[in-house]
Amino acid sequence: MKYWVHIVVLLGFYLFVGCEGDDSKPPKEIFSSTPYLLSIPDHFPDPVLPKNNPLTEEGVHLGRKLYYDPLLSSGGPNNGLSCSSCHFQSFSFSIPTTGTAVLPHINLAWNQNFLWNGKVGGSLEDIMLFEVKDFFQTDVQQLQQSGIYPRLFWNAFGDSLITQQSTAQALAQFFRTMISGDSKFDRYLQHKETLSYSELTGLEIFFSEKGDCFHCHSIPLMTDNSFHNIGLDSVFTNLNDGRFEVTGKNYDKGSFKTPTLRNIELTAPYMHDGRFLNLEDVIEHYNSGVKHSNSLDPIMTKSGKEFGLELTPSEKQALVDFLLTLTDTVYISNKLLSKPD
Amino acid sequence: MKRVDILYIIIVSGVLAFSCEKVTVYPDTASLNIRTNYMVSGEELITDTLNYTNVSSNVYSIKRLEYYLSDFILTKSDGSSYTVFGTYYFNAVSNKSTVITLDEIPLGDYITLSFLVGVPESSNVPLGLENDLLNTNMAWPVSMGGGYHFLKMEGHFIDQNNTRKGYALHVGTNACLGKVELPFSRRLTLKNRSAFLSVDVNQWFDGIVPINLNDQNYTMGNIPEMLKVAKNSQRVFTIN
Repeated sequence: MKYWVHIVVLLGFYLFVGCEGDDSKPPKEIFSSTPYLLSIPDHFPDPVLPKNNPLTEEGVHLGRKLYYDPLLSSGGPNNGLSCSSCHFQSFSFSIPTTGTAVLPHINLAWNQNFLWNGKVGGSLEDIMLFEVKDFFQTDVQQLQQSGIYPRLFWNAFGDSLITQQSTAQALAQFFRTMISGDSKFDRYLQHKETLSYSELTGLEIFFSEKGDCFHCHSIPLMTDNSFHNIGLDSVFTNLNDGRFEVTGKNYDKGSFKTPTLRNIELTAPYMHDGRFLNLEDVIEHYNSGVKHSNSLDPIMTKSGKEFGLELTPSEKQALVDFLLTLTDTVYISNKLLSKPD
Repeated sequence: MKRVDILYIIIVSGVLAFSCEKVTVYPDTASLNIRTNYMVSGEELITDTLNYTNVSSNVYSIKRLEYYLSDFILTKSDGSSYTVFGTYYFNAVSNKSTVITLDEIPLGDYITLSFLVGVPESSNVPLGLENDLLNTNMAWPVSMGGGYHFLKMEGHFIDQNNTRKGYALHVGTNACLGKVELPFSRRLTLKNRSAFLSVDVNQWFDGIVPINLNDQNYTMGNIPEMLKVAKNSQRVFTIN
């Protein structure tokens, strides 16, 4: 046999032996997650979905578990609380309370400003990081030492090392699934349901110059995600400065975030300080109670409406009847948003 | 191999080598980048300050200024034109210097630039524009005609009784679609393809038909008043 044939055979043998797997080490677990298919109502705009935190079944599941877990706040200033402690599903993830009103957790996937004065701007990841770091001051070691969370974090992110960042990301994923778009009014828009005469009258007032509600509470999210001084006060202190606390600009005094009107029937009391206990009081404010100041929103000073909308009693009732069509009973009973077993 | 064959191979190879020489193809179109800047009678716009006075002697501020421009048409001296269809959103408060890019404009000498102030009729219907948050917030109620606000200009002014009041110039509906034609003497080349669109906000009050906020501080739903604002749009923009 020629010399070179010997070399080839030896090399081939060496390669064969060298490439053989090492059975002494266990194979590494390969991370994979299941994409979550977000169901968005047809008439809603597309939400912004961040590429660095894609929605997965595992991420949403983890976020939902955290939402209801007091371990989120263990050892922190709000020890013993979870998101669900102040956000009840039956109240559209809000809660009746005194003092600063609790904003409902609804359709936040479309929000760019969070909290009444917009203190936190950006994405859901940004506000969740604020909640984890500043509000709950989540001790991630408590989560790490639990029997279940390292595995759940691995399932969601491919990393069992828990951080405040990944905790926020999981919560953000769950929040993105909290979508309400199946109220009577939504079905009316989709030609699947009719409204009563009074409800239609209220709709007409809402979406016309008569009531002019639509400029701030625009379809379909029923909020413009902006800030307005709607004349609740004429004198401002640090208790009602609103957006001024963030921007320092005088024209922002008394401006607060436009809350969504979806499920408004369930989220009393109303306004940033909960001063109005029912929808009738809210409408009466716009009808006759607007207080003027230098930062009053221009929309509130239309000629002929200097003293309010001046609606008749039946028109006010019609407006209330229309607002009640924004209640989504599916949202408040959706098991996928409820406390996991 | 015979000498003739070798010679043949050399000749053919030489022909092939020369025929593979690279040829540079220059594009005959370019993108035109248009950047906005906001002024009030020659001064840079500062929002939310009662700094400005219009021809009707209204002292006013600007708190909100959002609008759409659509369907840009560039016209050459020979009468030929090129249209870039599309609707562009502008917000003078959140983005003082917006740049829009009009793609694939044929190179050459242009003399005018025209566009619509608002949304073209074909798109001015519910969900006619891309269904995103910006367009959603510009929606015009279906009961009032549907489609979109073409312009939202809001702020405060001092009225004839020396009282601070608000104003809201909102324009919408197909009847109030503004049309603007501007002189634009420009040779568009691959190197020379930027332009500045100056927006003189005061002209929305003064323009062609002076608007006095003491007479009417709210235009939405009032066709004659909206038409005034739409007409004044012709004097708002300049391009260089």
